[in-house]
Amino acid sequence: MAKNMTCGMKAWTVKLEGACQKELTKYNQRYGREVASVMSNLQYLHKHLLSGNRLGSCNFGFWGSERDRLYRIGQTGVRGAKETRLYVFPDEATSIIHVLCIGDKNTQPRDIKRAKEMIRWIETSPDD
Amino acid sequence: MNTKRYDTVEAMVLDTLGTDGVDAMNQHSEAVKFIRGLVSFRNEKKITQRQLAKTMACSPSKVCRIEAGRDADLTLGDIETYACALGLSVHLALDDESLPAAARIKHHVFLIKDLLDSLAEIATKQNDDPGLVNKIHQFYGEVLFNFSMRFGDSYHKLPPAITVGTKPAIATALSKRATECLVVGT
Repeated sequence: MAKNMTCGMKAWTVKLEGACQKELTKYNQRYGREVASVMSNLQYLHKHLLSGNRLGSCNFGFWGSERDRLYRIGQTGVRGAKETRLYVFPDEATSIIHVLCIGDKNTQPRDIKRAKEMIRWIETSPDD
Repeated sequence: MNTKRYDTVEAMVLDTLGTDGVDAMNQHSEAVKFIRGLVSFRNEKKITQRQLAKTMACSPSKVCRIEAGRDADLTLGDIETYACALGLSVHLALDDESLPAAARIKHHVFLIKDLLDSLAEIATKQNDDPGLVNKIHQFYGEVLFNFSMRFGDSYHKLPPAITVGTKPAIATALSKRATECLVVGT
């Protein structure tokens, strides 16, 4: 369990899951601006949670639920962008934002399916 | 599976995409800084995009477009409409960075004086509301105290002035003023 900091703030951390690191690197080669944007939005979300805000208070344009505790972070502020989605699972029990995979609008159904399988795997795996 | 955990997103990006990735991410954050500030205000007031759109008398997609854009693409009209819909007023301050620090400080001091004068005017007009007048008095005391403390902090960073005989007048004035403000502020 994550330590509770003063004033109920949690020490949220970020974890890259599976082959996400390789995927990010590959995606970044083609869509660098979009990756910079989603990473910046992820950073913004992380800081929002680190400040003691609850997940339910995340009311940002780039943030959306894909149900079953899966969320997507979209890109913002990029003209003519390839619609990019970073899929994350913010686990309030452990205060870990699991970064699962990245894709675009075309690969969305496959990415969501894959991401939800990863969430099931994470939940049944022993804590590290 | 990779089990590496990071305390910050920056550390994760550095590990995955290198310094170029971090630079790109930070540049992006700078490019949307002001819009994020507006969105923070909206979230603090617990107002959804849809609710804000209604107050702005525009479609929710317009609010989405504003919030998904870059600072450089914002118009003054968008900023004013958005801010007013949140109950905020917009003040534009122009700061000429090519001017020496002393000139810029004077400019800001005069600006603060104007704002304090307008507060005094409010207190005068609302003379029949002792609660409000007392609060403004209290605020004046706090401003004076805080300003003196900050001025003092900054002053003490200066290298010692060369003096002959007595302490520099400003040091004496600062200690006197700080004492006065402690009385006013309480």
